[in-house]
Amino acid sequence: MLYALIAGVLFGLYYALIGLGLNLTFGVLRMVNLAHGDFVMIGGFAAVTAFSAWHLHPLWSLVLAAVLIFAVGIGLYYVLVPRIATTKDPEMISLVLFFGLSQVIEALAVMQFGNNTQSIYEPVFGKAPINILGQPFPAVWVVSGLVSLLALLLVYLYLYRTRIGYSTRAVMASREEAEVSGISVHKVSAIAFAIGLGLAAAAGALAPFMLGGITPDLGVGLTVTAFAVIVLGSLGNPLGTVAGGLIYGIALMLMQTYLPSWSALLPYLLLLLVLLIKPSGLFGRQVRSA
Amino acid sequence: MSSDALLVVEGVEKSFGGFQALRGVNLQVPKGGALGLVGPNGSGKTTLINIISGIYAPTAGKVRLGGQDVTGRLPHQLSHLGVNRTFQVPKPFGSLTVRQNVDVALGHSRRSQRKTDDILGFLDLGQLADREASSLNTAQQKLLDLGRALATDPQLLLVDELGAGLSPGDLDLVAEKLNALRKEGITMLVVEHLLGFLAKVTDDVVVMNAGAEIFFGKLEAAAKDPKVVEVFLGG
Repeated sequence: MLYALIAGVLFGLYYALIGLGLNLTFGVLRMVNLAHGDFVMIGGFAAVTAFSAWHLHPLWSLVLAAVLIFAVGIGLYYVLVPRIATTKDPEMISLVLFFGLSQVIEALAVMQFGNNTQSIYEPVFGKAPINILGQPFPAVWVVSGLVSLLALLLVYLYLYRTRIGYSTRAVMASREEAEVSGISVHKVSAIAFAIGLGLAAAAGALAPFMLGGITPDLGVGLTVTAFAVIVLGSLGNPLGTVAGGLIYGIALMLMQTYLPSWSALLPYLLLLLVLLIKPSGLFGRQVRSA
Repeated sequence: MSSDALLVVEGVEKSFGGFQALRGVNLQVPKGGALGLVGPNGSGKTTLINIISGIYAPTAGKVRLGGQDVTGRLPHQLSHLGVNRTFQVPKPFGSLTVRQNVDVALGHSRRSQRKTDDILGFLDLGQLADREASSLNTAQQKLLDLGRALATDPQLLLVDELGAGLSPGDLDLVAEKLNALRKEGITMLVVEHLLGFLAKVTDDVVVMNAGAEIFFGKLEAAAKDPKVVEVFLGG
């Protein structure tokens, strides 16, 4: 039981990292990026490829993938989002468009990497387990948990301790009031969107270890999981994602320990339960009206 | 066009699909003046404010600020030029404190010499400075919305139904604040249903109906104008 709980916290932090970018994007754009999981997948393939080609340590790949995908995210925002925003039904159009983007990314990944599972099989984080409260855990789980915690902390500092972070929270609260206050909403949103994708890519670099391997079709399932995590915490409130991730991680580990055959259903079960019982999320404010 | 007009609206039209919300509206507000905008629901008052503040682009027509064509500029660009507004239903930045709400706007102003404490003091919000904005009541949220707008040091302030939902005491307080701002030289366009309140804070009024202006002049004269009476009382 203790082992499952601690493992749940480690995986929970990792799942919070996966969900955080999606929630940040939703918070500023009020759009669900259905291609979010595909950027996790890209980060995963980047880490695998960089390791097999140049023996680059996955933590370096994580930083590089996050920075590169951040830059891609800025460009992608200005190509896609301002046009969607001027349509009559931006939320519906964004769902279709990001779903299309997800399919394109997946198809390109199949062409480039094939359909086989790829991973990093060498013990790059050391062979020896790390003991927590007398329980031995693979070093990579602990490293992933700590890296996720660091990333979550950086996002917290960004949102709560920087001028652009205050502007981002202002845009999350009211785009119109933010705009007339002199905030360039597109600039703030582009940065938040790009950070969201960068976080996804960073999580992806750890995916070969935390998820067992990378395949091109990983994205769709990860988007569902990320969505479950953020709905569980609070849709539109990035910090609620941490709570959502921890609950998801602990529930997943308990399920894998005691009811392993049911664990794949967990994201859907949690989504259903939260939407039925507390649609604003367990730690949510009123951030959506339907 | 009057040479001392700060805001000039020329033939502004706005369509939403097949619905024409504005049908060639013309109006002017002189520098330091306060013009009221009245009319029944759906007459296009808030649509006009949305166009002047850059939230909507007009389908046709021009908006000039101090002689400069600012038609179609984005809201943040207009804010930098000294145009700001309040909202009929204010949505303060709820997870930020009252002080941070004003600070955010102040931080993005390219004009403002104002200080957050002065603005909060002027609006009697000093005691609430560290409260989360989402915890304020309606009157306090409206004052905070005004404070956020003031933080950008506007030369033109668009006031959208600031009086709606306020108690008589709060209305007097808000009227007093708006008149104090006028004395500082801020030009105003005030949308309001409460005619008593409007009489206290404006010089002239434009009455709108079905997307067009039907009267310009003193509020007392408007009450005697047959077209205005027909619109408000149905003939």
